[in-house]
This record gives sequence, C-alpha cells and structure tokens, in this order.
Amino acid sequence: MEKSMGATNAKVINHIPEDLAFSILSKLPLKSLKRFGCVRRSWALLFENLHFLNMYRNYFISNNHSYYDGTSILLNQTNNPLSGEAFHSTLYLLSGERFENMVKLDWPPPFHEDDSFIEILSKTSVNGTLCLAQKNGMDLKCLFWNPTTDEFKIIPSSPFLYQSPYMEPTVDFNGFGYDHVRDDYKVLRWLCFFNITDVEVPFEDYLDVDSMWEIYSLRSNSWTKLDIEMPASASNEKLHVDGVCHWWSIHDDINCYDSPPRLVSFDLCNEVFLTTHLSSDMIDPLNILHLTLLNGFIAFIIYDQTTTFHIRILGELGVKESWTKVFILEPLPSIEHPIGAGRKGEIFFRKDDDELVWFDLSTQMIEELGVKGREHCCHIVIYKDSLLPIGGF
Amino acid sequence: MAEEKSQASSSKMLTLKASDGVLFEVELNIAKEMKTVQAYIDDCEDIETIPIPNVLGKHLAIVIEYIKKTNEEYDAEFEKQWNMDDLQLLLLAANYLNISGLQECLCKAIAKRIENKSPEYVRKVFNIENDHSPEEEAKLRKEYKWAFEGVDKD
Repeated sequence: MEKSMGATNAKVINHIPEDLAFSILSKLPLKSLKRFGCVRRSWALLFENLHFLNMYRNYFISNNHSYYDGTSILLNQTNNPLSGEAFHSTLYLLSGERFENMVKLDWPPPFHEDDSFIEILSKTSVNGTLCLAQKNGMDLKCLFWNPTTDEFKIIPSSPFLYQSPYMEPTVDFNGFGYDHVRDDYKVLRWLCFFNITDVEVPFEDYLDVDSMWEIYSLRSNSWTKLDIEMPASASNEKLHVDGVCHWWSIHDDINCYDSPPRLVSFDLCNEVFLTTHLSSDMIDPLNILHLTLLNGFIAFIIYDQTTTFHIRILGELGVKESWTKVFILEPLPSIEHPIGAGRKGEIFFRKDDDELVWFDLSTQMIEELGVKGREHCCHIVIYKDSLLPIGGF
Repeated sequence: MAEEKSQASSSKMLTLKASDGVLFEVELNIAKEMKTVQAYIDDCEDIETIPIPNVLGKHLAIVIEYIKKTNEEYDAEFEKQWNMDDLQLLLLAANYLNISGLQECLCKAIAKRIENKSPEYVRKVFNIENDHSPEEEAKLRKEYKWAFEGVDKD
C-alpha cells in the first residue's frame, strides 16, 4: 500500500500528541499498560496522571463486557427483624435505568416453609439456572432453579457428610459454575470436621480438625471427594466467571488461619486452583476486603472505618503486582459496606440505617433502592435468563 | 440507522478543501458532524468553501465516507482496510475535525493493533524517543516481568 504523498512526509505528519496517545492507551488492558511504561517516562506514571486516569475510568465504565449481554440484576435481600420476628430472604428482580422497578420473585417450593438465609451460589447463573443453598443446623438444602421456567432440581445429599468419628461438619458452599469441556454444572463445597471426642473441649483446643473438598456434578448426579489441599473461603464473596470459581482466603493450604489474604481461583474444568496474593499496600489489619466482579474484571473494594472506598482491579490472574488502583470513592458518608456490583459501573451498598443504595461510578450519584437489608446478608446477582431445561440435557 | 445521512431538509451543499487542494462537496448535515467545521459555519454563515489545512484529500475522503455510513457493522469492518500509518493520520484528522465517534473507533483500532506488542515496536509506531535511563528501564522491566510474557516478536 502506498504511503501518502511521499514517504518523507509520513514521519513528520505522524506525530500523535500525548493526549491522543492517552486516548489510545486508555483502551488497553492493564498488562499492556504496564509493559508500555518502558516506552517513555510519562507512560510509566500513567495511573498517577489524573488526565489519563479519567480517560481510563470513563472507558472502563462505558465498555460493555460481553459477560453482561442480556443480563438482569437480582437482589437477594435479608430483612433485619425486630425481636420475635423471623428472618426472610427475599429475591427481587431490578430493572429500569435507575432500578426503579423491583419485582419480587417467589422462591421455589422447597423454600416455601423456611425462606431464611437462602444463598445464591457464586452470584451468577448458568444458562438461566441459579444454584440455591440453605444451611439450617443439620438440614442442608441445595438445588438448581430456573426462575424463568420455575423448574427446580434438588441436589442429592453427599455421602461424605457423616464420617465417624466426626460430628456433622461445618459446610461452606464455595461455588457454582459451568464446566464447558464436559458441558456440566458443578457445585464446589468445603466440609470441616471436628472430632466427636472434643465436644467437651473448648473450641481453641480442638486438635482433630479435618477438612475436605467435594464437588457435585450434574451429569453424574453425585458428589466426589476432591484430592486437593486448597485454602477455604474467608467471606461470603464468591464468584464464578468463565468456568472459574473465585473467592478469597486467609487460610493457608492446610486451612490454618491467619495467612495473608489472597485470591483463590478454582478451574472447574481441570479442577486445579491458582492463588493470587494481594500486593503489600493492600494489606492492613484495619482494611476490610470485598471481592467483586466490576464490569467483568475481578476487583477488590477495600475500605476501613472511614468513608473512603478504594477499588483495585486485577490485571493478571496469579500476579500480585497487577492489582491496579483504579477508583477511589469518597466521601460516601453513612455507607457501611458494599453488597455487589451491577452491569455498567454501578456499585451497590448498604447504609448504616439499613437502606440499600447504588452508586453510579460515572455520575458519582447515590440513589436508594427503597428496600432495607441486614448487614452482610444482602447480595447482588447477575442473572441471564433462559428457557432451557436445567442442565440443558 | 443504517441509511446514509442525506435528508431533503438539509440539502445545502458545502465545499471542503483538503490540504493538497482536493475539493469535496458535502451536504451541510454531513459537514456538521465535524465540530471544527460547524464552528467555522457558526462564525461565518455564508461561507461556501472551508479550508481543511491539516488533512490530505485521501484522508478527508475516508472521513466523509465514515460519517455517511457509520453504524455498528460499518465501524467493526472500517479499520481493517487501513495500515498503521493511515490509521494514525486518520486519527489526527478526526481529532482536528473534532469527530468524536470516529476518534473512538480509531483509538480502539490502534489499541487493538499494539496490545500485544513490545515497547520498541510502540516507540517506532508513534515515533517516540525513549527518555528513560537504561537503569530506569531495566528496573521497570524487572518489576513488570509478568507483563512481558507472551508478547509478539517484533
């Protein structure tokens, strides 16, 4: 292809000024940006340049990740009962530009009698199917449910729950997701056993603690023990993206407490995991971490007792230096903690008066949803509906 | 939304003169998409020929075509026809003429092409001189070693 008007002119005219270069750079992934820091000095300090940072933020917010195509937002809310009142989980479908439409969805029949503390695993759906779980003392309920067709399928009990000499274990539902290699739905769970002889012994003196991971496959309709030593979750924030379940942990590999916090990512297809440590400036005893998916990217919202919330986006899985400071939200007075992120740069929070609100990253405005919720018991779910039967097979 | 933007109500024609003298007759509503041209018209209402001193005829033609045809489908295929030099010149043109849609499209296209390239390649493409000291650059390369994995060979 011929160059324009003589080759000599091309180089002279080809000078893209720095702010146009920033426009181009703002659309690049974090890995490229870190590499291009070597190009010149001003590019090594991109995230400290407010002009660039604003461009990057604007593009980040407006760039619609395909994960969200055709999705809606569900709010799984728990009330804060007065004494004597019961706990109830209520599921709302939020729609409208400003979430002004809230439609209550009924839970499937297994939860009609007791709708307290229903968990929606990994805050996601697979082909229109959600995985619901409820722990009520000895009673464990786990099922698949398609809210659009109302079909539900109860997941059978695991043969590993009752193992002598142990008492019934503590169960942590860790994740739900899709194995695209086997076209299978899987549920991951952690069981923690205490020796029955230690019943009289104070908790701190339990010597015989054993734990195991188990995975349920819809295709085989059975639970299998996983031969893996993997850190268990330290919180309720568990996600599923592209066949990988993510959570964060302060346990080490054999589940002793109090290791530095890190992201654990479990691949449902090949059943292996990867840890991503947090960079040292993210770790502080006063910090509170909230793992979320922001516009398709794994992110931590980090906050403390002040009204400032920092958002760190993960540049590359497995690389602790790639947590990049992208957003700072301040001040957000009366905001207590995040409850999840939406589809286009909305972050949902709970306020100190129990009101649930959403914050728009592009306009910096906060709006109330018109419903209240209990501390740490409300979650946002990204839902993509489908009329397919559960499992699609 | 896919149709060309010509409408009977805005059939007044305008002439744009590129830097190499090439003349283009365009409808007013097409010309208005170029905010720079719009400002020119706002300043002198009965102007008929507007000079575009920074843009070659070849590129002005492409820009005008873009304005007429832009939609999601067109934009997706648009950038594939041009080499890196032309993309940059088109971006400079779109920037000078202040056409935000075209600027976005071109920035995304250029970003896509350099995404997996080395810093040396990027310097060459944008004609940038490296003002890092060798020690500074070595330090950065070490610190961001993970960002250099899987990069295209130059």
